[in-house]
Amino acid sequence: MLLSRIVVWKDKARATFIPMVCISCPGMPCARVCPTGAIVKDEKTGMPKVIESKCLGAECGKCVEACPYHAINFNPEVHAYPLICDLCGGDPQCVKVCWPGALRIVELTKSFSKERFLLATQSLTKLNEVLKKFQR
Amino acid sequence: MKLYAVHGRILHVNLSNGKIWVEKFGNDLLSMFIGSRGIMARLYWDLVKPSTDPLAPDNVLMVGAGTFTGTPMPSAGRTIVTFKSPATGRYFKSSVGGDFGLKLKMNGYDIIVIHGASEEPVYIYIEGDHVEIRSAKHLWGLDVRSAHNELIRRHGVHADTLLIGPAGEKLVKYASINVSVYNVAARGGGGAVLGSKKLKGIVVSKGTTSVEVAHPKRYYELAMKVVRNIMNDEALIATAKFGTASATMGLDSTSTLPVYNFRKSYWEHAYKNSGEYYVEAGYLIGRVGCAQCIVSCHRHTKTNKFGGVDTVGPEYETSNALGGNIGNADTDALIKMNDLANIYGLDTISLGGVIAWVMETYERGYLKELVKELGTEPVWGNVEAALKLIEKIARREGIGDLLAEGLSRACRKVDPETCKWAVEANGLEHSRVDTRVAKAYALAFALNPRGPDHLHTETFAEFGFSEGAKKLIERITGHREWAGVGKVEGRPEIVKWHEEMYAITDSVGFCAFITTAGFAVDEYLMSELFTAATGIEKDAKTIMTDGERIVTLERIIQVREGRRRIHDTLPWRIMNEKIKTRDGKEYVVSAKELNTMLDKYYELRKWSKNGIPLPDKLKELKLEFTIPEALKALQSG
Amino acid sequence: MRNLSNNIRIKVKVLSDPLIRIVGIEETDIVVNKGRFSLNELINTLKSLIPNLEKVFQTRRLGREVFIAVNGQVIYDLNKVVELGGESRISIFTLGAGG
Repeated sequence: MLLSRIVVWKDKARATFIPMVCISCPGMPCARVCPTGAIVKDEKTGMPKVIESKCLGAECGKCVEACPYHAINFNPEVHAYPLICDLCGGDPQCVKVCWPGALRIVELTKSFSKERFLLATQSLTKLNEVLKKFQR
Repeated sequence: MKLYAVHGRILHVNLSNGKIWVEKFGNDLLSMFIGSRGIMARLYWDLVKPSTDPLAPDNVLMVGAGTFTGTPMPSAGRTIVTFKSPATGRYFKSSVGGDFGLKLKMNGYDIIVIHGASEEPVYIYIEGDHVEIRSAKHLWGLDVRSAHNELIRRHGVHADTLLIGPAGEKLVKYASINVSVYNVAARGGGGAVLGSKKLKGIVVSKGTTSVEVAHPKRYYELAMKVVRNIMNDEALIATAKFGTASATMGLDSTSTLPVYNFRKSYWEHAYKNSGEYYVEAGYLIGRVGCAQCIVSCHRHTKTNKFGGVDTVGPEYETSNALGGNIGNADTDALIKMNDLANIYGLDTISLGGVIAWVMETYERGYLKELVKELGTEPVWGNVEAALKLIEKIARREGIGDLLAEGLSRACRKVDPETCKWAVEANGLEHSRVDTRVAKAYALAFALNPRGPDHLHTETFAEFGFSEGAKKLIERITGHREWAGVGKVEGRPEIVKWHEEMYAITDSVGFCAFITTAGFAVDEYLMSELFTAATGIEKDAKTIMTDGERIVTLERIIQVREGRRRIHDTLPWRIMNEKIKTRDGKEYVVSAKELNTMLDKYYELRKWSKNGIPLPDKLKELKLEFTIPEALKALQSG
Repeated sequence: MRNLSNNIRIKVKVLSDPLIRIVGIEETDIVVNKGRFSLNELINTLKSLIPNLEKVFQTRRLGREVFIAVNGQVIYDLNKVVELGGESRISIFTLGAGG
């Protein structure tokens, strides 16, 4: 399915662009909060996997709210089930089109895991500022 | 056959009576006119009469997303805006980046057409099938940035806006339409058209309606080919890093960089107006891209001067128009001017042309009273004067009211003699390249429906800066050595190819950098992309013929509006005052030279000697419905 | 202790990717004498201090395919004299696309 799991949040007036994507946090709040156990950890990729046959789709959406990184892309009109990054099964398409090399596929060492967490937290801080700015 | 890549849905909104309806179109129109620009030209023929006053309710303004927009095609997110221009009095096509076109399409519409005029300020809100005209009383008078923020607070972070600034509200003849705040459909006074309709703007919600392509697997393979072509194109990668103002030094080195109101074509301070300098000196703090683009050439810049500015730009045209053109090497001031133009909603090319004219006019002994009004002398490089003029033009205050009319009207009001250095033609200020030296540009500018301007047919390959450029010139003319400025050989052929490629590029939503400044997609690949996207079979020859159809339709539209050979011209300075290059050569575009190129071009196009498309050609292009108009024009002369 | 010598440290930036690939660096500091140099002298000094820079000038013409900016100004004329001081900056680049 060629639908991106990366959501880019934009504050256009400040030329601020914040891409958010799943970093498979160890706690997996998405899996914990799912009422039917439709989210499990994929053994090959280490990323969350949505088992569509178990997922309640538009009637639920709890995983979207639970994700601390706003990284679950859910548009029932476009695709019936939430979209969470699955590394495209191991050959991520996004990396292929990113010419500055901002997206890289790496062996998940402790050091890279830490770096990924830090980057995601930085992005989240920026995103929360933007969301606060546009709160009514 | 099923409709692919586009929805086939045109949203019509009439602001006079509040009526909203959807018009459907199918594969016949798509096959003939390819996408946004072509289809809207066809609509224009039906909707806008030659007698229509551009600022009256019966003018329309159309915004269209490209055929490839919303499909996984890189750098195919450009949006076209079509209307009758209050500056030129004729058909005008404007082009813009940002995300609005993509989101319009994701809300289920390919094109929106705005008719009539509201009595009170309003905006249009689009959320799928739900389309509403809402009061914009609280937004009227706001600059673009403030209006955008207010609308996002109301409609959510994933919405996007198309807006006019105070300049559009005041009907400035070069008021712009801004998309996603800093992406600008700048030229031709589209902002004034919306201002006359009391339409502050349009808001599109996040959008969830996608399109399908006819052959998904093939399309994806071809898209990845385009990605690789872009990544291997050194010119595009340089543009990504240094922005469009990376053109500055190329033009300076070939003596095609117009400074001091086209009195010189190279400058010792040119580097201060270049993309490389913005990076070197630390003005650049980020890059911005339009929808779907992997190049992302737009600049996020910052300066602590002038009260602190955090903005997007300046692009090449702005860097020169408000840089060397007015004798300005102060990059901080340039960034400030760019921001003001952004938020007031003003075309920087026309703005720079007007300010340079003021400076030259003052130098030559006119407009002495301006010193009192501005509190400073409007002399070359005086940024304080320039900043004050921008404030006045946006509000039509004092001298601003005259200058807001554009060069063609302003110079005549002051003294017809001053029109000699009003570098405009057909009501539009000349874009930032010296066409006395770049001859393909000269011909393209003379023929351009917009006026002497680059963003309709830009023959960038003429410079021969890259191998891709030289190869293209060789392919079109058979002569690699004809690449380079200062030459006249092969120019009609070069312009013809570029006009057709541009028409296709615009209509599918591609950025011109992909096909004519960088060379990631040629007409062969383009035809394959179109076939895979829509299921409509095209090859290189037929798709270029479709391009010719669009160009010819735009021409017959303008002929109906009164255009003839005499209007295929360039500003007085370009045709009468020689320019000297770095190596001491002198150039001008003489009437003889232009006429020779026009004769050959009309011959290639099968137009009459007076620039009117001939009935046989119109029949060949399946534009029979325009033949009566062509015959009328051929008879009257 | 005050720096009494005539030496100054100035930043040299290689801006364009194709040139970075040849020269191998994006940015470096060089130590030169304070004072006036012709562009030609400056280029020779740069070539001697920055390995691989020579290759750039072998295949690219100055003012056509390679440009040098000194103190915010691009210089075309090899005989033109530039003044180098503590705040000086030098950038080397090639052309883009623009529009």
